[in-house]
This record gives sequence, structure tokens and C-alpha cells, in this order.
Amino acid sequence: MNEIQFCLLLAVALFSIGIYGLLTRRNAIGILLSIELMANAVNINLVAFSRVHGGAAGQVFALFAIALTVAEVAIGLGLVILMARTRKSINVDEARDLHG
Amino acid sequence: MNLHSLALAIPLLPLAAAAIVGLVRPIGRRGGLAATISIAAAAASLGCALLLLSHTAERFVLKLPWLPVGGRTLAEVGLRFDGISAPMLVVVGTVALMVQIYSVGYLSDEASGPRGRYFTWQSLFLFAMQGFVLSPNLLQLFSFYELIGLCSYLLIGYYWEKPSAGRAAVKAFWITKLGDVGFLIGLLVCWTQYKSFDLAAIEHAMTAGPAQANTWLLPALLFCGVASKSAQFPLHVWLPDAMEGPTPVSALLHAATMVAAGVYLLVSTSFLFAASPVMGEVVMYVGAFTAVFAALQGCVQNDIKRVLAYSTCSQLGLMVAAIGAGSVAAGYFHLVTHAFFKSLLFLAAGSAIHAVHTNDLREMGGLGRGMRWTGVFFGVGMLALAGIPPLSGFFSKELILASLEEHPVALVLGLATTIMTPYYMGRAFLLAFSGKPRSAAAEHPHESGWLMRGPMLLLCSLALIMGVFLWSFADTIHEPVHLEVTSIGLLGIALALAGLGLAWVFHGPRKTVIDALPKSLLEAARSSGVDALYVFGWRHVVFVFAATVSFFDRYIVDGLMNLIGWAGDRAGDALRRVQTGRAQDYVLALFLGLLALVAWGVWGG
Amino acid sequence: MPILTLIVFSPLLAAVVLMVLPERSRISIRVTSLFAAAVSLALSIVALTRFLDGNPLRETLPLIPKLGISYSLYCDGWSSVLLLLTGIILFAGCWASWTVAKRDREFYVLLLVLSTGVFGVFVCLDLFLLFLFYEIAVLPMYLLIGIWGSSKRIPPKGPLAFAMRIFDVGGREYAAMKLTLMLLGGSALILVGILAMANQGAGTPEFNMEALARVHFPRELQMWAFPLLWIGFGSLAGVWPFHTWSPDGHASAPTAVSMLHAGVLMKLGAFGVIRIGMVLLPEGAQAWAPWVGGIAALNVIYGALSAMAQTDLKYVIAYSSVSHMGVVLLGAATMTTNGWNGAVFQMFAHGVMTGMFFALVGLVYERAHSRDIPSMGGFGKMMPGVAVCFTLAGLSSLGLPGTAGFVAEFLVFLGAWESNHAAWMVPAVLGAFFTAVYVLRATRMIFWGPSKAENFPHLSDARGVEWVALLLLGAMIVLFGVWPALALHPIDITTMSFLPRITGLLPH
Repeated sequence: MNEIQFCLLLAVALFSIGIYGLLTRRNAIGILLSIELMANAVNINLVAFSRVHGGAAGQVFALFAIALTVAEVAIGLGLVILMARTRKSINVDEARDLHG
Repeated sequence: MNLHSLALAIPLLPLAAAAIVGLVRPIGRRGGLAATISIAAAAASLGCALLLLSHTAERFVLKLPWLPVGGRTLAEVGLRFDGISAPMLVVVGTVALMVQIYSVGYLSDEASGPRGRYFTWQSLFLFAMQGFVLSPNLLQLFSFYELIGLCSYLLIGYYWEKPSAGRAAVKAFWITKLGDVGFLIGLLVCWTQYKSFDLAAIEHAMTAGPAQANTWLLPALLFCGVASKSAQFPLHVWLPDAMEGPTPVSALLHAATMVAAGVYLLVSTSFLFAASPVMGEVVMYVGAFTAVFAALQGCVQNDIKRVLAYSTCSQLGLMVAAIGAGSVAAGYFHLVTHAFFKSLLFLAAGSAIHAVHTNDLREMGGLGRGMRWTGVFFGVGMLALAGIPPLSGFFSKELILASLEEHPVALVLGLATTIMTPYYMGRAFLLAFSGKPRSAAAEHPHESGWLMRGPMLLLCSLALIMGVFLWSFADTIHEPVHLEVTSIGLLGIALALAGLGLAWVFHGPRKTVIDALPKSLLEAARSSGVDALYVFGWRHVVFVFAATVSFFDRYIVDGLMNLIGWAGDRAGDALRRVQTGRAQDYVLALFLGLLALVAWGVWGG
Repeated sequence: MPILTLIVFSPLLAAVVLMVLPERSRISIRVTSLFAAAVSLALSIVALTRFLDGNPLRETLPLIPKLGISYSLYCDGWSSVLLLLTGIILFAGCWASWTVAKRDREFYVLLLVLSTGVFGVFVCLDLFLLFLFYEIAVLPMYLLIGIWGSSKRIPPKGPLAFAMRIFDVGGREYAAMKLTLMLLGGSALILVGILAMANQGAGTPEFNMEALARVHFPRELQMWAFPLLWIGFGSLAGVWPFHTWSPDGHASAPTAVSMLHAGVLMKLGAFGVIRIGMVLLPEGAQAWAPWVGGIAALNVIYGALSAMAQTDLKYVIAYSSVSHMGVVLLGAATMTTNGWNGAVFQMFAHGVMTGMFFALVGLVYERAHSRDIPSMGGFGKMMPGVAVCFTLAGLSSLGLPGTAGFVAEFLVFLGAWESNHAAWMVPAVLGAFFTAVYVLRATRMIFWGPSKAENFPHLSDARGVEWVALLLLGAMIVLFGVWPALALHPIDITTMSFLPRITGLLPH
């Protein structure tokens, strides 16, 4: 197993854990953490492929992605705080006012 | 004043009167003023007609384009004056004027507003009728024909608050409209056959152009219109009911003019019927049958106006039969004489009804003592209608019998009518004017005033002497007449006298018999079944069909639309449950979708 | 002066003025609307005279050249007569809604916006804009019926009444929704047809009708595009079986809206069928003629028979519209000079007549608070003027000579008789006879007979402003009945400009 395969497997594992968490967690913070895992799995892929192909584009892109993820987490946490204030709970199953 | 403007004034003066009385409300509200304007217009119109009558050697046609189609003129509007229209103009004008004057007296008890309405319709009718007589083409004939029907509807419905009057008015309109459907289709056929509606052009095309197939079609369709307006079997059912209108209206429209419009239409399109011997025979037999059938009905009526209505129907049948047999002069001359004596009879009957306030012969009796004038007028009318020489009816009846000479069946029917007519008229006269009064109202009847007697007097004198105008009439319409002493003529006189004798025997002053026939027979005769057939057709065929169509529309067609809407609604309701509102469910769907796409990309397509 | 633009947009301008008008006084709202209607009416007379002078109005402005869309208005004989009709009905409708009390400013705004759409469709040469105007004309109906419609419903009767209750038949929301959905369904088909025609050539799409008229579309396209357009436009013209929005819609709509809808909007559909469907796709029209003409003839007698069986006054009039629009579509299907002239003349005649009918029904309903015919009777005593006007409208409806209805029906019957399918004439003529039956029956039951005034304490004759609409429309019925050439002449010129070219294109 060479370097790149190892990286990809790590990314797949992280992504799967993230998906699993995203789908099963009821806690909003937990969901945010899962999304972070998935985002970082993608970042690992970017860095890994950047190394294979040479050049810095992938790494620059990963840096951008990290910065964006920070922004996203900031908004996400803001929403969670808002939810905690209004509903006194951060269980996402309770936030389903848009059901049909 | 030239002839053209005279001819134009004949229909337009009454139209102006109708517009003034009908649209200017202060005038319409004042019955007397309305009557004055209407009568003045009618008198002026009659004056123009009389002036024109002395110029029958002239014939002219005035035309204006009316319907521009395809860059050409499809139909024109105009007027045609010739020997055919001249006598009719005078007859219509005279009777209309007399009836309008009479109406002033007859309706004097009415409120002003309704009288204004009455004279509006009367003037409108005179316009429509004279416009009809002067029409140069079939489309215009049809238009005025329908307008006449409209005026009849409005005038029958004069007492619109009475449910029976409303029903009679609507029935009259429907039945005449039913016949006009045939007339309308006739117009379409006429256009495809001759590419013109103009009577002169059609006549020219028939003689000069190539021979047409189906020459019977156009006359057959026109005859539908004739039969409905002139109350020929089986479209006669509206005429007896039309007696719900005021009596002067019955005298003018439903005796003298409107019902004669059908006959006039036959006269002016007689060349079409002459070209098709089959249709000529059909017309003749329908007319002859109507004459006998209606006369039979007339024998058993107890309502004096219904007796006269059936009599009108029967006499119209004779006119139609004569024209069908090819003798236009006989039918047309009978139209003229009949117009005078039948309107006289109606006006006299109206005078009696005005005095005793009932139409029922069983509640009259002995009126002759209190109402000598009316009795004499009715008597003269009766003798003229019976065809007793030398009164006017004699001449025209003889001509009709002579025209039927070569058709034995029609002749027998005509002769049967000749004996029944004097019988039912004699019966009505004797029951009303002789014997003892049979109700309180009939004890002391009051003779009508001169406003009513004057018009009757003039019509009475015309009914007496009209016969001598036969030869000048024949000259005017350019048709030969031969009045000779024949065995049939003598038989006709004998039958007329026999009919009067029968009436005297059964209903003479000493007798109190109302009906000469046993009761069961009477019932059978009165319910002729034709009316019942219409009622059945209306209630159980047309209306049931309409209700079925409506049901189909509401529940099947619209039901399908509603079902589609409902199905959409239900489907949406079912599908909305997919939207759980939980974000994680959406993510799961997204992820599965992504997996499916990847799988498709790797293994599929 | 851009006269056509003024005709089309003066109602919209008035609507904008009304919306920004600071004060909401009754009188200023009505005067503004009437002024706009009068401007449009007067200018449409100008447009008619300009056409007759051989100098027809035309206004063009490129809008989106890359997509072949331009703002081009043109007023031919058909358009000018229909503009006149719209002007008359809008003017009369503004008078007839004088008594609207609830949210009257919004009512007039929507009415004016709608009429901009109608004017636009009649003069627009560009199919894209035409579709836009068409939608503008249809959509405000939803609000007009849903908000101002009559809430009083006659409970469904009969063996299947329970089914009607499931669907809430008779409610104004139901009627508004049904009308909008069915007409928008039709628009979707129209849009498909228009796009198919516009994208026929290679390169830029072509939306201009004059340019499209020169294109010879392949037979295959004509065969499928024509029925799309016919059903799409036909659903607005009340063609069977897509007519069922009409009885419910007209019964629920307020007076002026019924007037405009039955009087003018239904004509948009018929106009589209002839002007776009038949003029642009003649081969398709000819191939489908046996079907579309047969359905139109069916419409005539079907509508008349359905009207006979109704007891609700507005349903009677609504079904009579279905029947009379059948006459229009029949005339169109004949593809003869007489038939087309009759069809366009019938659009005018029926518009005026039905506008008058709905104005009268509105008056009766306002006073009697009932539309149930059997419960009425003897109204002639209290409302003689209304009775006379109702009779006049009825006479035009049954095609009495001397009224506009006769000329139209006669020409259509003649066209049907001359066409390849003479049998169409029979149901049409019978339908005209049945019209006489139900119209006179309704007149007798409502206005004649002994007075039932004790059940209807508020009956009174038309007063003041209410007369304006009645007199105007009544005068039009008689004027165009006695002197039909006024409208028939311009109609005929335009028919003659379309028809020979079309028949020349057709395979024999």
C-alpha cells in the first residue's frame, strides 16, 4: 500500500464517519462536528492529489476550503445558539416545522 | 311628392310613431297622446297607400346595400311597389287604422301607461307589416316576418300579469319561430341555388338560368314559414290561444293581417310553387285539410273568440288551398275580403265582450236587443263569411271553390267547409244575440260608443260591397279571374244556406241548446290531440332531453374536470408526507442519490 | 400620436394613477377609470376610421432583436371592431360597477389591468407579446372573482348533490380556482404551439405574425400544432368539453367582471383560434375542420339545451354564452367568407348582448337577492325598464332580425351551409330555436305573471347611472342590427385579405 492509497483510505474513513454522524446524531453540535469531519476528508484528498500531480493548486484550494469551513462553522454555531435560545433544546428532531 | 317618398312613408311613419311613443317617456305615459300620435301616423300611412293605389301601373324597386360580404353585396334592403303589394298595403292600412281607433274606446278603462305601451306595439306592428308587404327580397321578407311575430308576442302578452296570457304569447312566438326555422333554412337553400335573395332575380334565374334539381326543396321550406304564421295544420295550435290578447289585437293581427302574412308570402313567391307541382299539391291538401279540421273545431267552441279563431284558421286554409291549386287571384282576393269581414266580426265580438265582460257564449244571449248596432255588424260579418250573395265573401269563396274544381278530394273538403262555416257562425250569432239572457251581465248590455261603432261601420260597408272590386283587383294584380254560374257555385250557395238553416234549427231563439252534439262526442272533438302532442313533446321529449344534457354536463363532463382536480389534490396530499421536515432525512436522500449517480457513472451508461 | 399604444395602455396608466392616488374618494376612482375607458373607446373609433380610410394604424419598436421579439401593434378590420367592442364593454362595465363598495380601488385597478391585456391581444402582431397580454387578461380574473364574487350560492340539488358538495361546487373560491386552472392549462398548450411556430426556421426565432404568415409550415407541424392552439384558445372561448369553468365562473363573478369576461375575454379565445390557429396553420385547420366544426355545432345545441334545464339565472346566461360562442367557432371552422365574417360579427354581437344580459342580471340580483328563476315572477311591475332591456337582449340572443345577433347567426349559418360540411347547419339552427325557448321562458317566469312583490321587498327599476350601461349596449344591439355594414365592412375587408391566400395554399 503506497502513500497515496493510505491517504485516500483515511479520507474515505473520515468521510464515512462524518456521514454516519451526520445522519444519526440528534445533537446539532454533533452534526456540525460530523460535517467538519467530512470537509476535512475532502481536504485530505485535495492535499493528497496535489502531491501526486505536483504543483500547489490543491494545497491552496485546501487552505481556501479550511477558511470557508471556519466561516460555515461560525454560521452553523450561530444557528445552534439561536435554536438553543428559542427552543431550549438543540435536538434537531424537534426542529421540523417545515414538514409536509 | 313623388311615388318613391310616398312608398317610403308608408312603413316609416308608423315606425316614427312607435319610436316617439315608445322612447319619449312623457308621451308614452299619457295614453291619449300616445293614441293620437299612433292613429295620426296610421292615417297618414293609409293616405299614402291610397294615393299609391291609383298608380298601380307604375312599378318600382328601391334598394340600398345592406350586407357587404366578399367585396360584394350579399343582401339589400329596400322596397318594391307593384300590383301585388298595392292592394295589401291598403288592406293592412285600413284595418290597422280602424282597429287603432276602435282600441281607444275599447281600452278606455285601462291605465295610461299600458295604453302607451299598447300603441307603441301597434305602431311597430304596422311598420313591420307594411315593411313586409313592400319587401323586395326573401331576406327582408324573413326579417319583417319575424318582427311581425315579435309584435304578435308583445300584443298577445298585453295583459302580461295573467299567467295564461304570458303562456299564450310565448307559445305563439315559439310555434311561429319553429316554422321560421324552415324559412331560414330556405333562405340558405335559396342562396346556394340562385345566388340571390331578390325575388325578381330568382324569378329571372328560374326562367333564364339552367334548370335546378330539387325545385321542391325551396318551396317546401318556405311553406314551413307560411304554415306557422298562417296557422296551418299542424302548426295552428298557437292561434286559438292567442285570443288571450285584447280583442282589437285579435282583429288586426290574428284575423286580418299577421296571419295573412303567410298567405301573402305564398302569393309573392307563387312562381316557386308553380315550378314544383308536387309542392303545389301538398300546399293545397294541407290548406284544405286545415279548413275542414279547424271548421270542425269551430263548431264545438263555447268561447266566442275561439270560434272566430278557428274560423280564421279554416279560412286561411281555404286561401292556402286555392293558391296551392294555382289560383293566386282567388286566394289573394279571399285574403282581402276576409280581412275586412273577419276583423269586423272580431270587433263586433269585442263590443259584445266589452259589454258583458265575458267571452263565454253560455253567459251571453239576447244581446241583440240592447246592442242593435253590434248585432247588425256581427250579422253582416257572419253572412259575408258564410258566402251569401251579394256580400264580399261570396265572390272570393266562389273563386276558391272554382279553383279546386279539378281536385275532387280538395273540392269535397272545401264544400264541407262551406256548410260548416255558416253553421258555427250562425250558432255563435244566435247564442250571443238572440234568445233570452243567460247571465246577469247580459240582462242590460250597453251599446258601445261611436269610437267603436264608427270603425265597425266602415268595415261593415266594406264587407258588404267589396265584391264589386273583384275585377279592378284582378286588373291590379295582373291575374285573370272568371266568375261564372256553375253547378259548383250554386251548390256552394245552397250549402251556405243549409248551414245557416242548421244553425237556426238547433240554436234558434226558441231553443236553449248550447251544443247540438252529445257530450262525449264534444269532448272528443275539442281535445283534438294536436295540442296534447305538443305538450307531450315539450315536457317529455325536449325537456327531458335538456335535463339529460344538463345532467351529463354537470356530472359527467364537469365531473371529470372535478375528478382531475380532486385527483391532483389527493396526490399532493399523499406526496407531501415525503417532506418530513427533518434535515437529516433530506441529507440521506441526497447521499443515496449521489451514490446512485456514482454507481451509474461507474457501471452504467 | 401612438394611438394604438394609447388605447392599450391608457387603462394601465389609469390603474397606476389609481394605485398612487393619495385620496381614496369614491368619485375620483370612478372618474379616473371612466376617463381611461372613454379614451380607449374614442381612440378605437379613430382606429376604425383610419382603417376604413385605407390608412391602418401600425406601431413598431424592436424589443429583443436577438430573440426576434418586437413591440409591434397593428389594427386591421377585425382588430378595430373588437377594439370597439372592448371599449364599449369596458366603458359600460365601469358604469355598471358604480355600486361596488368593498375595496373599490383595487377592484377598478384589476379591471383596468385586465382590459389592457385584452386590448393588447387584439392589436398585437408579435406572438410573444400576445401571449404576455393574454396572461395579463386572464390572471386578474382569479382575484376579481375570488374577492368580489358573489358568496351566496344556490345549494346543489339532485341525486348527485353530495358529489358537488365534496368539490365545493358553487363557491366563489372554487369558481375562481377552476377558471384560472383551466385557462392556464389552455395557455400552456398555446405557449407550446407558439414556440413551435416561432422556432420553425433556422437561426433567430420569428414571433411576428405577418412574417409567420408567409412561412409555409410543414404539414406535420400543422397537424399537431393546430389542435394545441385550438384547444388552448378554445378553452377560453368555452369550447366543449373545456367549457365547464364558464357557468361556475360567470355565476360567481361580480357584474362588471361577468360583463367583461363573457363579453370580451371569451372573444380572445375565438380570436386566437381564427387569427393564429387558422390564418397561420391553414392546412392543419382544414384537416381538423370536420372535428372542430362538429364540436362547435355540438356546442351550439348543447349549450342551448343545458341552458333550458337551468334554474339559476346566471347559469342560464352562462350556458347561453357557451352556445353562442359555438356559433363563433362554427363560423371559424367553415373557412368561408360568410362564415368568418359571421364569426367575427358574432363576437361583436354576442359581446354587446351578453354584456347587457349580465348588467341586467346584476341589477336584478342586487334588488331581489336571488337568482332562482322559479321563485321570481311579476318583476315587470316594479322594474319595467329592466324588463324591456332584458327582452331586447333576449331577442338579440335568439337572433331576431333587426338585432345584431341575427346578422351574425345568419352569416354563420350561410357559411356552414356553403362549406364542405353542410350538416353542421342543422344543429346550429336548432340551437338558435332552443335559444328562443329558454330566453322567452326565463323572461316570462321572471318578469311576467302575477306579482310576487311580497317576497321581494326591495325591487325597483334601474336608476340614474345604472341606465348608462343599459342604454349604451341596447343602442348598440339595435344600431348594428339595422346597419350591420358599420362593422361588417371592415370585417369583410380583413377576411378578404386573409382568406384567398389561405385557400390558395390549401391542397385541393
